[in-house]
Amino acid sequence: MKERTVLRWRLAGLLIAVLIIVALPYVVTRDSAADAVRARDWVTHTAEVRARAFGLEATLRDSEAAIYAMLAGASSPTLDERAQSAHSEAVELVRELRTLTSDNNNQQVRVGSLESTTIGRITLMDQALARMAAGDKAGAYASMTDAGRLFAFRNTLNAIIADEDKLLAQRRIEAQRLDRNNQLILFGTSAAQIILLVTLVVLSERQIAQRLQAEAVARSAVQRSGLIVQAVREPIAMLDAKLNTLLVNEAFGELYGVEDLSASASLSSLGNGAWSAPALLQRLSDVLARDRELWDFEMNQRTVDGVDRTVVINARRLEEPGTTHPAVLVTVSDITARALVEQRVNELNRQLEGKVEQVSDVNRELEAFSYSVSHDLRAPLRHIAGFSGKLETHLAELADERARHYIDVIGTSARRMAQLIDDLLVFSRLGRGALRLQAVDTQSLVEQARALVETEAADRKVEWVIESLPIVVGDENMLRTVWQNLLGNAIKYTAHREHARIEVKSERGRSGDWEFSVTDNGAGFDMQYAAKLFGVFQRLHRASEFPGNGIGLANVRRIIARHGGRTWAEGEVDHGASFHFSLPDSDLGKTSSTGEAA
Amino acid sequence: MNQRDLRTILLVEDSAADAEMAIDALREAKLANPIVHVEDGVECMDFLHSRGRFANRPPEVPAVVLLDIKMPRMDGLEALTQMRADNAFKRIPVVILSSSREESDLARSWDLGVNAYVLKPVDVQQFFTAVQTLGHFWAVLNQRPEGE
Repeated sequence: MKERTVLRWRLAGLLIAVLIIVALPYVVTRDSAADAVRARDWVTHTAEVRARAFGLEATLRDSEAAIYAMLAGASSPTLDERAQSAHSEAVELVRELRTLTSDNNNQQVRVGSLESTTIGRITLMDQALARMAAGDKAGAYASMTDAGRLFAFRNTLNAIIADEDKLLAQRRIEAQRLDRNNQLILFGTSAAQIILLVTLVVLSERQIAQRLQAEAVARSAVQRSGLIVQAVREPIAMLDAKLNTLLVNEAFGELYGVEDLSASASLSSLGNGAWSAPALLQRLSDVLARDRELWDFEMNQRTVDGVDRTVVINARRLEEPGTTHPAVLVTVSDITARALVEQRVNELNRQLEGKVEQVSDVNRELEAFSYSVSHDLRAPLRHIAGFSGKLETHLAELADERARHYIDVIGTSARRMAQLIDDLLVFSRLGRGALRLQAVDTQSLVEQARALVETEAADRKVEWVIESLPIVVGDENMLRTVWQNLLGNAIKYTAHREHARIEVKSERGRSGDWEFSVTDNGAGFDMQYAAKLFGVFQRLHRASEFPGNGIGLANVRRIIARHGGRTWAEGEVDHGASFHFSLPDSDLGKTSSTGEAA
Repeated sequence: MNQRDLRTILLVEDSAADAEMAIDALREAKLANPIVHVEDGVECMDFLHSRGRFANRPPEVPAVVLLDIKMPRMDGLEALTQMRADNAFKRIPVVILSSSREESDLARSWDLGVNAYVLKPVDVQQFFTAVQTLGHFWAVLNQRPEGE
């Protein structure tokens, strides 16, 4: 819209310029030509006035000369005629002079005086002729002398001519001035014409240059897009309304054996029948007829290289450039590799599902096993313990010291066995149950655990150093078990210290984890056996020295592992131990099931 | 002690040893209630419905059922389910006596409306105390709606 307005204004400007160039010299030269004609008229006019004036004088003088000749005795009809001629010719000449000078009052006055002088002279000439005819030659001479004396016209005539000459001179100057002006104007218009023409030429040159440049840009853009189409690895074909190829790119040519990329060929005849599937042809016809886009049509094709490929075909309708004929743009994506990968992924998934099934089978078996242990293994122990007790009661005084000792060992062993089974069941349960993740206040967990373990060491002197501890994400019950175990151990292994000191600290690890530590000044351990510390039923101290069955740290390790953390320990015999564990940095917002698979 | 206090204590226990210990404990508690011992869930239901070998027993609702979980044929939880589904027996106090502290056992028992869940301790003295307390509570102290 805006462009059209600009174009319209440019056209109007161009028209105006042309008009000026063509019309200006015409106007200017027309005026100057009129001026020239006027100047020439004036010259003619002056010449005419002079001619009449001199004509008048000549006529009068001729008539007088003829009269004088007749007075001197000459006689001829010609002389008569000459003497009479003044009558008609002189009056006519005066009348013409009057007409010629009709626009000039001064001249009119002079012509008036000239007329009366002429009439006076002619009258006296007539008188002389009449006196001559009467034979009065002297009277005739006197009349003629009077005519020359009384009616002199020479001065008047000269005045008229002088006036005309003066006017002519004035008009010449005027004409010259006009001429100069005209020349100036002509020069100006010529200059303007030249400037205008130069401007037009420059402008149009520039426009042509711009157009040429734009055409060059457009040409290279077309070439570039052509290059892209040819270089692209996806086969591309453009088909006409009858599904004949208009243009295919190199990739298409290679895959389906097309030699001449721009030759027209029926699509179904290409690639040894790769395109002859009726379903596909039907869909392409639909694209043409109903503008229904073909979207990711997946099919198998055997291409000319003899490879079976899985391809995805996309097609959409467009108009052939510069026409309204519908055409179809078909692009082909070779997804053979992807299809293979998908197949492989599916296979792996199936295998994985099988494995998961196996794992859950194993888990179910474990569950059943621990259920069975829970029910069936404990019952006989209960019976052993129960009936050994009853035996003791039954024997009463019959039992001697040794018998009572045996019965006691039986009972103790049964109870110990039951405890081991319970511990194992707890350990096994820690590995199976789902983690219930939530925000856990470590500070209060530690305080609770401390309160609990302190009841077992009420008579001891223990110095607690508990730093400020963070809120973490984890299973509260499991983490409580961790702290009870660690603080319980710290209390237990400082039993022989007069002044026990237990320190609980936390710090941020390098990867943003929380690292907790419980340090005591108790019995410590030999770092050589540090690897055994967290094993099930592994102990570094004799039960007689420190009671316990070696399940606590195993539980700690399992719980921390399930939370995605690590456990480690440092110690030195008789110089205390330090137990550490880490918990991954979990944002409270995203309580992921960290360590679920551990 | 009136008649109601002398209702039967029904002990459902497949293990002869456990049953013997439980009965001993109840006897030592000097409870006057008769104690009936059956060996699995099927017999338990037979007793309650007075059928099979209990076809001729005098009609009576037990004071309490002490129920083991793991038993052949019908286990304790199945028997409990049937009792709770039956209007005639749904108010009978049932105490689970089990070796198992498996979470699943506990959860299912409570879901089925058990009145107490007692772990059979290995320690014989604890076991005795537990059973005696149970018997005393359910057979003597516990008040139940009239007509049962």
